[in-house]
Order: sequence, then structure tokens, then C-alpha cells
Amino acid sequence: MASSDGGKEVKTAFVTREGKYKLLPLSEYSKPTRNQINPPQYSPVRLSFIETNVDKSSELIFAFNSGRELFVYPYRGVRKAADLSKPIDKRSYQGTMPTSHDFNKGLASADSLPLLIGFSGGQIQLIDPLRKEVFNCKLFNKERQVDKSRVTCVRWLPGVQNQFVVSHSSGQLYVYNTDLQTTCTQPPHYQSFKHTDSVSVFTCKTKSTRNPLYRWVVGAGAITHLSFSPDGEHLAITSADGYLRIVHWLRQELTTSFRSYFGAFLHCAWSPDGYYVAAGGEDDLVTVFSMQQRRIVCRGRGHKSWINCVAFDSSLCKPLEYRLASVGDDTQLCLWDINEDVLRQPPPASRPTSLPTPNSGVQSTVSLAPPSSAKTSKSPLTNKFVNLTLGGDKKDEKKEHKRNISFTSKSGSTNHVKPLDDKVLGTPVCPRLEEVPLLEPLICKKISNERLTSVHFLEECFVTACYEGNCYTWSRPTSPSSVKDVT
Amino acid sequence: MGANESHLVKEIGSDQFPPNEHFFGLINFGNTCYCNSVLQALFFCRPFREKILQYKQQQKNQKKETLLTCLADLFHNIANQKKKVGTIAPKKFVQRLRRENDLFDNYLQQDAHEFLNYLLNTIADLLQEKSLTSKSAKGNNLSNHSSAANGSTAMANGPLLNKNEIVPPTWVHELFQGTLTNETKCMNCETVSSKDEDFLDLSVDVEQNTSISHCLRGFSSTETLCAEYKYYCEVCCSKQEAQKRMRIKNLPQVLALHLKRFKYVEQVNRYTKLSYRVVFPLELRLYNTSDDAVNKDRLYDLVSVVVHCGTGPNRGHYISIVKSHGLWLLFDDDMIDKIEPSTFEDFYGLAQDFQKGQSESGYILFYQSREI
Ligand SMILES: [Zn+2]
Repeated sequence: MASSDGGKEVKTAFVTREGKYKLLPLSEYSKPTRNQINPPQYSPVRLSFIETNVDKSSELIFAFNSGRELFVYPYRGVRKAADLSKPIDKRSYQGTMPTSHDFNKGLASADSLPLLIGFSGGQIQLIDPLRKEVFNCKLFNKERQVDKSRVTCVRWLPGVQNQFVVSHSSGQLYVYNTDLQTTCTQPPHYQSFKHTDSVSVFTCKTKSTRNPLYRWVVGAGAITHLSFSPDGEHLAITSADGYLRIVHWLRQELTTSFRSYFGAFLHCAWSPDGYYVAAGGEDDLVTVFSMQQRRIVCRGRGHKSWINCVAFDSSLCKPLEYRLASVGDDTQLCLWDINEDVLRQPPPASRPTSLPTPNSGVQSTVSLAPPSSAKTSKSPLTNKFVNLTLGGDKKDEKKEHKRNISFTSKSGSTNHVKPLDDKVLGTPVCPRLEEVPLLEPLICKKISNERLTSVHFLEECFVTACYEGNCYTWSRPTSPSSVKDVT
Repeated sequence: MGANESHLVKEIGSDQFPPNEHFFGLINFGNTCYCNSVLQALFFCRPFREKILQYKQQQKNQKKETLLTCLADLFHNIANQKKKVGTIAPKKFVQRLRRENDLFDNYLQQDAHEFLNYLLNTIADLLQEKSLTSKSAKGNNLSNHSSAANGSTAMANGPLLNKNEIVPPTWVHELFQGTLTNETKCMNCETVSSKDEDFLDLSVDVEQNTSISHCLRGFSSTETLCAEYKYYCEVCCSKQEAQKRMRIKNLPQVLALHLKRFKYVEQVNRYTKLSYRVVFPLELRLYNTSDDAVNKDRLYDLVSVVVHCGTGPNRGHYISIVKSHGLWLLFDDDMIDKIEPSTFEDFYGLAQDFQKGQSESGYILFYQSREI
């Protein structure tokens, strides 16, 4: 059947002012079994890259999830074709599926590559694709006593090698220590630890330190994405309640927040210098927020549907000039130039607001080290064998997307989005449409027949991923002296 | 049925069950799911339900049976059930509907949007008639509305009211009526003329892999009138090329959006369904408002959705998903299930044109302004 999509052609190359970007068909990574359509319930395909140093040269490795599978491949860049026959690791799961993953940058080496994987059933697995034989996988929240809802994002804590944060669609996030006991047969009891505005922090109420170290309740909807600032000090949290909240990680406090024009925020990214946060979501807009000015500085309109991923291109970012990319359900890639003209625009003469006071900027010297983490830095490594089929509650999993769901009691709060009042409209937290510049994209191209879920910039190319599990490589404009087309 | 009831109560949790709320499935009288799905969507549109129940209170002695009295009886009946969950037969309502309109007097599947349109217009007529007779005004000069022709290019499904100032707006208009402004700019003299048009719901064209916001913007995109479609300019006193666009000037309290998923294909001489994936958020503002709109950044919440399942307008099935006290429920005739918003993914449509299989796709969306 012919496409009835207005005959819109899928672009394999496009030109911007810096030159021509080209799709490299040989550098396409995908799951070996093609042409099967993923059910709509499948999770967006995410990309994780890691650089490992072998001798003096560095090697790129990347992971992506697709349906029930997770793949780890050497990323061979723009000069070498992808070799799909030799994955570093390939895992298939039953009863649950991978939703998010993150390599441990601090521990990555030529022979070790700790990789965290979050799952739709709420579990989190720690694997090492380079030490499959000797490394015993760990499975956190295996019994689903901590949180039964879908994992939406996992991230290693910056600068801490044995702790990670995981967000769930229940609207909660948890901090785990990988050296502590993973099992949790009883639902944990929590005690309130810290409470600011829409962010509450709890610790486990036990004599000895156990996982999870902390539980955060954030906002009034599912958490959709997490992103640490380049200096590791702040965590940006996007939520289905329409807010992006920026918390000071060590102080465990809300620093600031801003609001979508409407609907959920689905993804966010920091500018390389940490001065700006970009977000995209269900209002079809990209929104750029200034950390220094604590206000939304501009919005961008070009997408025809929800935005699934935003990313700054660090090689084209310099002070007061930023290059942002976004991809979405409309199968389009948009590139945005955010320059001085936009960033220097005075804020709209708006009424005084109740913005959270900007933090003093004084570096907190209080180190809120998780309770007694030092004592357990060496884990007992009793290493129970963890089955690859994360079997926890298969029945529940299967039923998850059918209508006749019998919901067992949920842990923690539910994920109903409570309507928030509309009082923030017209404030720097959510300016009216005409109050901040509304940018047009530099380019806006349909680059796929499938919905796009990810975009990631590398030195000599960028990579996009689509819903069906294909990862495409786009070469950057080349200077005349450098290598020509890859064949 | 009994199993279903207790099942739902258990699922929601008896302590979590909304107080004074009733979830009653509607029995199907032979392809009446188009009717059931719209009735449920309207029942859970709170301001509409309240007005209907008020009407019931005021009309205790009404003898004459109308579609409105039948609807009021049905809603009253549901709202006053002892049980929280169950099923009910909308028999009287369906009989009345079949008696009043030939279109629905059969056992065929009907278009849910046509039914919604007919129902709202009929209620508005009856209310106006009543307010006129109660004022002992002149005879009934209300136009007899035919339901909006399916597949027509008419995009604003307005009450074709004679703009007779005597006719007071009813609560149907207060809830659903918005105003479009139709701006035409003559390319010769650049004069802009605008004409306002009221609507009770908006029909929007759908495109593959887009959002409802995008479809609404497409609805308001600028159209050039040229060649045989030239526009007669009063200033130039001749036919001229012109640019036309239609934007929303007055935003309704309840925004009903009809996705034009049924497209007439001449080659096959029938309607086919566009199962395109069109996403709709739980929260919405409009981008296609006119510059002089007063309430242009009104924030809407999704309250109910009529979903079409299957391949064509005269086949397939209708269900509805509704929100009640923060819970989302799926009504499939007499069956009710609690669902999570994360499963709405199943009701956006199919992301790929060649994708086959069951297409359950949002057909009518009801958004309610947060202010009311
Ligand atoms: Zn003219």
C-alpha cells in the first residue's frame, strides 16, 4: 500500500550553513531481525555511549534497547561499516523490557564496562558486557517491593562510582548503592528526611543501611527523564505534570522549576556549559530555560507532534551561541540555532512572581553522604544467581497493557496527574506564547518513516534512533581535506 | 455482570471509590455502541451532566416525551442507583432516537459524531423552544437542523441558528459553543474582511504521526483562493485572488474535537478509515486562536474520548474512555474497566500506513476548560 502521508519524502541528506549532513547507510545499527513492527506499548529506543581507552586509542561502545532486547555494539563511527554480527552483548528479556540504560563512566575500562538497565516492570539490572563470564549480574527491586511501576530513567551519580538514581512512572525516584544488598522482600518503610515544595526526600527506616538509600517524591505525575548538569551539581527532572524541576542533588532541594506550555515534558538536556536547559514534550515545542536568569528564554516551534528527545551539539556550542537538536513522534529532526539575539532579549515586563529564590551560589560544603555507605563499600558479594529472564511477576507484566487489568496495590503514591492550577501562566516559569521569542527551526526534516526516539551527538557524526530499533549515523559536513564518502 | 461489578470495585478499591459516583455500563440494542459511547462521554463531562440533572429536577411534571426528557431520565436513573457499579438499558432513549430520526431508525452502525451533533442540536432546539413558549413568544421558527453531512468540507459544526436575537443562547451553547473568525484578505486591495461563525464542535483533518495540536493548526492554515475559487471582493467589486484563514476567536468551555478519520474514496465508492496515529495530551492549549481572542490561552483538561475500533464508519465498534475523580475508565457498552493513562498509547492510532490489525483510534475528544 502506498504511503498516504502526503508523499513526503524521507531525507537522507540535508544542508545547513555549516555544510551537508549525510545519512551513512552502512553505519546503521539495528536488531538483526528486521521488519517486525513493535507493539505500541514498547518503550522508546534509547542510546548510551561510552568511551573506553585501549592502549592509547579510544574506542566507542554503545548500547540500545529495542522491544524486549538490549544490544551492546562497538560503535565504528563514520569510516567503518557497522558489523551487526558481532555484538559485545545481546540480551533478551521475558516478562519485562528494558526502558533505560547508562554506562558507568568512572569504572569503564578496556576490560570492564558496568551497565545499568532499567525495566518496564520496575527492576534495575547491573551487568558488565565485557566480563560476562566473571561478573555476576545484580538485580535491584527484583521482588518489586520498592516500586512496581515502569523505570523511566537510570543514571549513575556523577563522581560516585557505586550509586545510581532511578526514576519511575509512579513519580518517584530512588537512590541505590550497588554494594548493598539487592534483595528487598518486604516493602521498605520510609521516614521523612527533607521536604521542599514539590520535592520530598525520604530515607529507609531501618537500623542498618539498606537499599534504596533514598526515596524522592517529585511533583504530581510520572517522571519522564533525568539529566545531571555538566558539573554534576544539579539534576533536571521532567515530569508528566508539565514541570521540569531542577534540584540541587547534594542539598536535596528544589533549586528552580519551569512549566511546559501544556502537557507533559518528555525529555531534557543541559547545554555543555550548564547555563541552559532545553526540554521538549507534549506541547510540540522545545523550551529553553536559563539557569542564570531563572526564566524561559525562548521556545521553538517546528514539530508536528510530541518531542521525544532534545540534545545540544557541543561542537557547535560556544558562549551565547548554541546548537540544539530535537526529534519526535512526527518522524522529523529539527535543528535550532539559539544565539545572542534571542538570549540577550530582555525578559518580558511581567508581573512579580513567586519564583523560588535563586540559590546563593555558595557551594555547599555539607556532604550528605548516604548513611554509612563507606562501611559497605566492599559488598559481601554473596552473589545470588540472577536469571536473565527477569521473572518477577510475569503475569502482571503480560496483563499490563490489556484492559482487564487487576491492579494489585501500588507502592507509594499513584501516578495520577493532579491538575495544577494555571496561575503560573504569564510568569517567567511559563510565559505566554507572545512573551518570549518563538523560534523557527534552522532545518526541519523528515528523516525516517518511523517515529524518532533519540538523537545523540558525537565528534564526527550524530546518531538518531527510531521506535523500531534502528540507529542511524549521520556524518557531519566534512572539510575538503578530510575523508570523502564512506563506501 | 455481577462478577464485573465487584471486579471493578475491587480494582478501584472500595475506600478509593469516588463518593456519589456511579459507573454504569449501557446495554447495546444492536449496533447502538455509537450512541452508548457518546452518552458515556457526555455523562462524564461534568457540566453537561449537571445541566441535564438540573433539567430533570425542573421538569418533573413534563408530560411530553422528548429526546431530552429521555436523556434526563437516563442520567437521573444512573445518578440515583443504589449500587455504585452496574449496567442499565437505555431502552427508552434509543426508542425515542429511532422514532425521531430516520437516520438512526435501523440496526446499522452509525457515526458517533453525527449522533453527537444531532443530540446537541436537538437539546438546544428543545431548550430554545421551551424558553420561547414560556415567554409566550411567537411560534416556533427554529430551523430544523439536519445533522452535519458526513465527509462534507464543513469544518465548524455549528448550530445553524438563525441569528435571531430573540432566541436566547441555551446552556448547550454556554458549554459547547465557540466562535470561529473567518478572515479573507483580498490580494488586490488587501482589504481584510472577517466573518464570525459559531460552532459546537470542530472537525479537523488528520495527518499521519501528528498531534491534535498540529491538526488544529492545519485547520487554521492559510488557504489561497484562486482560479475558479476566486473570492468576490466588495471593495474591488470583482472576483479576486484571496487568502483565507479560520481561527478561533472565542474558546468554548467544553471543546469537542472530531477527528475526520472517515474519508470518502471515490475509486471504491465508500468511506475508508484513516487510522493515522494522532496523539492527544491530557492537557491542551490552542495555538490557532485569532489575535483578538479574549481567552486564547485557556487551559483544557481531557475529560473523555470516543474511540472507534475497526475499519470503517459502518462497521467496527465504538467505546469511550472517561475521567472521573482522577480515575480513567473504559466503557465498552455494558463493560467497564479501570485503565491507566499510560495505556492511551493504544488509542492514538497506527503509526505506520502498512500496519494492519485492530485500529482503536480516538475519534471525538472532549476537553474541558480548567476554569469551570
Ligand atoms: Zn479587493
